[in-house]
Amino acid sequence: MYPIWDVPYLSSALIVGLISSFHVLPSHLAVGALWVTVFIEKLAYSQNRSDYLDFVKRFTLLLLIFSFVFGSLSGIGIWYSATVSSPRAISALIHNYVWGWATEWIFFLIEIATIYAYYLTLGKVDPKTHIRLGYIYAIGAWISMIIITGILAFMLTPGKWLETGDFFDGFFNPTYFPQLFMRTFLMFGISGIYGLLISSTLNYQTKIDLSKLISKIAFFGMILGGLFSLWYYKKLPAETYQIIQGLPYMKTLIKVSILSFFILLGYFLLVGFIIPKLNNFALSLVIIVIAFIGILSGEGVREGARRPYIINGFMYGNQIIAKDHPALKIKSEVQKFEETGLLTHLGYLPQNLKKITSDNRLEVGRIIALHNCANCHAFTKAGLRPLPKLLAGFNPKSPEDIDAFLSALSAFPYMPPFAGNDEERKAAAEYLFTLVSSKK
Amino acid sequence: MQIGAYLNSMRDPAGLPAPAFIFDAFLVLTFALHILFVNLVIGSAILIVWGKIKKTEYSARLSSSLSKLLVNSVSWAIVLGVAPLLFIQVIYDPFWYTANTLSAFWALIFLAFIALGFSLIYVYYLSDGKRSVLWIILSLGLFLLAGIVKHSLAITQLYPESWPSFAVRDGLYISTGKYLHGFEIFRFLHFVIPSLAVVGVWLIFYAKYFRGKYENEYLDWVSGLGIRLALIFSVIQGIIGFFWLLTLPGDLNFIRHPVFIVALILSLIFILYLFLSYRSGNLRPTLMAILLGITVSAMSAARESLRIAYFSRVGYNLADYPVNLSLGSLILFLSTFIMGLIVLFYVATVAYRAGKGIREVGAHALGKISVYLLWLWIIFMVSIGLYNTIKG
Repeated sequence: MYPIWDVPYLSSALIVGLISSFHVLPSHLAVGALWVTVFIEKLAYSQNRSDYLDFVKRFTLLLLIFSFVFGSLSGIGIWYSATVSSPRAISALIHNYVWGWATEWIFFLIEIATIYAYYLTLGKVDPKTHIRLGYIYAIGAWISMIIITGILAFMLTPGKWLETGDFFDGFFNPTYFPQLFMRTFLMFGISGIYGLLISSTLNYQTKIDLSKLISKIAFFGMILGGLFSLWYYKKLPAETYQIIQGLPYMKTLIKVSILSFFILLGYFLLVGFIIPKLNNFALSLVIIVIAFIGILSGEGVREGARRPYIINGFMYGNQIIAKDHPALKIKSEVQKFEETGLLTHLGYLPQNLKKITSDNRLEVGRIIALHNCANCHAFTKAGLRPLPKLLAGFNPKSPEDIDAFLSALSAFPYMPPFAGNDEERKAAAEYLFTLVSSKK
Repeated sequence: MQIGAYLNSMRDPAGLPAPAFIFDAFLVLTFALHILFVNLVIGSAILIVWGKIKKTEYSARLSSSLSKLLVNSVSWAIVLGVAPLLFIQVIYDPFWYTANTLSAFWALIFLAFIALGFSLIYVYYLSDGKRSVLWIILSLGLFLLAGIVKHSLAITQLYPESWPSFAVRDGLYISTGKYLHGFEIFRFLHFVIPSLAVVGVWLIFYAKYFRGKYENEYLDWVSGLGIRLALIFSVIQGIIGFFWLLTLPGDLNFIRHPVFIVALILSLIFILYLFLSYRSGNLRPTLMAILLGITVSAMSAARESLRIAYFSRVGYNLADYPVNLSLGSLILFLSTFIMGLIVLFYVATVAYRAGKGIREVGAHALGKISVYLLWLWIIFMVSIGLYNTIKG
């Protein structure tokens, strides 16, 4: 096993979650934006509305800064945060999907080349060429979504890959198409809110005309995106519903994301069809924040629904391989860790911490507990699913009580089994008991 | 468990989806492209600052020109960094993941340095270079800091036998990843010093490109500066490389490594070519850029050979990494790669002509083919998807 990273209060998984949720905004904007922009640019030429070109210029600049500075870097940030929080999981994804990611990278190159060309040549090359550049960008960016959705959907529904190990079986998994269409149409909603933000900075008549137009596009995009979300929800595996039903916070997250969806839909309805002048810079910013909260909740559901797995049906959240994969000649590691223990596999530790002694018992117990729990639980009194508080809820009187709880972990449908042998589990229990009994 | 056994046990159980040498070749190639743009960013930023501080007419003008280039270069440096990042963790996963988790805090914060540095460049760019050059200095500092972090993470990978002492201090496991674990000055400088040589070659290209658009006197000054920078900093790079070589562990015997010897010869040829160009005043930017590309690729290959030599000391060999061939996905990538080159060639043609002030840029047939290819890609992929879905 690789070294384990502990993030006080937050847990390492939440770091990945926060970066991923932020990334949804600039990345979906990057995919949706130019479909809207190229359409508006065409209108500018066909209706002789040169004021629309101001929108094109400003919106593209926003895209360059928001998507190609913070979007690009948060995308790499997801990767790095996954690397340091669940290295074996990201390794499993990369070893199966490296050529998928490399293919997506080709489209990143196309996106960078075209977006700069599009921004810098507006008004400097013939309109036909300029629109074509935008069009190439828009298709290329959508293809990057076509690719990444396969890998994202795989983590929750690996489908036939679990039997065959085949790239395309995992890629085109049961939730692939619903999720692709859901993201494709919801991206018009995300592009819409940023389009409204930019429109609000233009002169009055341009602002009114474009606010109406953009809100209508966003409104219909959201309606279709909502319908495909329902399809996606229906395609989720049965055990996912059990997880959602069994954890109250998941139901709350679903409610928040639905509420945020309808606030956005209502806003687009109002601005697009009833009161276009309602659109202003401050309100647009508020709507962006609401969209972010909705996305954070939705992504929280998507991530949480995989529990206890990080790759559904294959690898547990504590990075232990859960089941045999004969096609790839991979063996389940659950029994191996029970028999040989975890410590023998922690090759990064010095020898004196690889054997439990009376001197190092608590420290080794801490390391074993970190490997088993730190990805999802904070070890601090406060924070995300804090262990001291959760364990105190069982009112343990001794380390043995915690040890009994750890032995029965897999009885909880959303918890992986404890990774380690009996002696290691006892050491972990002793350490965890200090967290509960500590007055600090 | 000895460190060598640990490393081999940590290889991904799925194996490689293609033979290791394919990933290694792409790693070397894409890293060369990435480092070229990283060097262009650092070199341009230094010249922007120098030009603004020097305040002569030409230096200020060049400074302003380069500031327009800089945002673009940063984007390319970032996106070109993605590919080597991907390939390195496929074949060197035990080293990559251990080093990154041991310094987890830094592995993440380095991205914040780049994000902040990039934002500051935009602040400067959007002011049309009117704001204080301090923004660029700060940005340069942040990029160099990010470089130090990446450098240190690379060093950590080279010494797996030291990992236990990195992971634990005073008997306690460091779980926050708050420490960096190594810095080798000559190796670091070997990545940074070429920046001014790379920007020098760029300036020669710039002078050729704008010939006819800007006055000759200014462009002669630019190309003169370019060749001097390229020559001087290539020589300095050679000296730094010599010191780096001296500090390498003796048992690697890297001085006799054939890839190193080839890289050394190519580097010397490049320096000789720069010297002859400087003497004759006959500057041919395309040839110079090609030679630069070859030299940087050779250096990238030499660094890769060095890594392989380091890793073989702990019994890690690429050749014995099990392969679970995924031919379909490899073909998908290679065919997309070729398609991508066609599309990029079209976009580059448009940008090249537009930059020269040509409004009717033409190349419409190529443009149409690019759009058709993209749609064809989608149709092809959706067909596979539908076939798989129906079959499943």
